[in-house]
Amino acid sequence: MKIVLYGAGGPVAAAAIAELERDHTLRLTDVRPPNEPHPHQQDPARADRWPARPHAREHEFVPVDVTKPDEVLRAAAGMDAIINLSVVRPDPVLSFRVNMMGAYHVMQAAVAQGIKRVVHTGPEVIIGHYWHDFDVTVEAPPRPGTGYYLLTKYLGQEAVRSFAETQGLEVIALYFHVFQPAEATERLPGASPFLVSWGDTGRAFRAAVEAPPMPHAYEPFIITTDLPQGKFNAEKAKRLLAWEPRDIFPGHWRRHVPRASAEHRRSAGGP
Amino acid sequence: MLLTGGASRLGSAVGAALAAGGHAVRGTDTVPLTEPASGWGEFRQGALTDPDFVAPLLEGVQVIVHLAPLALPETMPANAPAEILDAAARGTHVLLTAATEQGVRRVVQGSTLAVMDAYPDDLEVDEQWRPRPRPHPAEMAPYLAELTAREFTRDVQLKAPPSIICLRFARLAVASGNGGETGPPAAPESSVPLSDLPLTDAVHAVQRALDALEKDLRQRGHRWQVYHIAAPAPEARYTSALARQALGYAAPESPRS
Repeated sequence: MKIVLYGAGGPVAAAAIAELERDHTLRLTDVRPPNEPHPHQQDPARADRWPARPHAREHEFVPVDVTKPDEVLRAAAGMDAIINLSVVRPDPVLSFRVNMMGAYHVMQAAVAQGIKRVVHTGPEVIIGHYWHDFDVTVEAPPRPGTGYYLLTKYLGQEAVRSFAETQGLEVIALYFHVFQPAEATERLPGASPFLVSWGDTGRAFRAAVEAPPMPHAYEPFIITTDLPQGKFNAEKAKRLLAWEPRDIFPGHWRRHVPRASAEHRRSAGGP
Repeated sequence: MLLTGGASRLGSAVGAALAAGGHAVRGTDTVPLTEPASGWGEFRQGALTDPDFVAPLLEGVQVIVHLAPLALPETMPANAPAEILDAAARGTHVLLTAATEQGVRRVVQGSTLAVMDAYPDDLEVDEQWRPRPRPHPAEMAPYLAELTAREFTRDVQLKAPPSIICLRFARLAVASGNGGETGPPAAPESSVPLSDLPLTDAVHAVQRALDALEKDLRQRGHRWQVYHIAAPAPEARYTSALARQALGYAAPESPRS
């Protein structure tokens, strides 16, 4: 399958590329040229956590600014599927122009080039307002608030949904929150009950690209590993995408209980 | 009052009616007025996406009538639809950010009933149905502006969130005779199609929404309210029943063809 990736210079894209490059032909696009490393790669503390690409090979690269519809359209020519990973976070202008306008341009390109399968990506927009809730599903109404990043990604999602529902497209939307290397032995700063490894992230993209048609034209999924807090889960991704998280960070959510303590609880009638 | 989209046909009519009612109206739009505002206080041309333009716009303002999301698709180039979405959504964000910072807590926002047109014609669609806008900016721009504004009414991070009444208007009738009209020559009122909303009815709805906000600035309950302002004919696609009940919207029946 020939797949074009928009926003291919970031870490999530690296995870997707690492998984897809074994079996698919990739066209990578980004506003940043490939010889200019992503800011995270220039930060030693974060570069260590960049996704690995064990089967790395060269791919076609096309410079694309997603705020320019002609560039987006040309990059989609001849492709079978689209993955949109483009994102800008706190910028008051570019967040709207990349996250919302860019998403609109990508969907315009999909329609114009006759590409049905689009994998859209975004942050969870169901965490902040639901911070004290549990069993939160991907179908919970988005509550992004007024901050630039979540709001503009939400507006982009709604534009994508509109194209999907009215133009006969198949959109699979993957929602993420926190990424962490599978080999991390302890929780990294920012880890949350909505967490996934880079490897499982890449496998989610493979599942999304290769999945059969979904029940709805716009089908969103929570992509998280299995965690014990009971807040978020990936049941829908398991059921419809046949995606299973392999990395479950077993040491991250357990505390050490000294043997004497455990024996004391048992003798007191505890579990 | 600040009136955005003030150069549009609806904006001009709303501005004239508010000014006639004794309100000091500051109009704004990205395009100039096509004729001098009748009785307005002032008019400033500029883009709501520019925070430096918006902040002084709000000086002394207590209430906003935000019609720009409806007006922008009519004035911006149609060959760049995403630019229209950006102007509508980001402009709404800039406007409401400045409004909350300056303590403006009452807003009437204009939107379109076309966001419901994708539903089959034989369904009784009201305010409880999920909008299904098509990607066209005439539907998508007001819809994204709605979503943006709604977040301002319920963001727990905001100290003093605004109360916003969103009016989704049916397609406005071309016939009017009110100021600012730039469309085809005005037809007599009796030729207004049954599916269209007379301009006077739309203006009346804005006035009723402003009255409702003035009487009941929400201390509790939902600060985001949506009302459909439909064509008055019994055969019309949508109904204004909720607006009649909650706002006292009672547009006079217009003679129809």
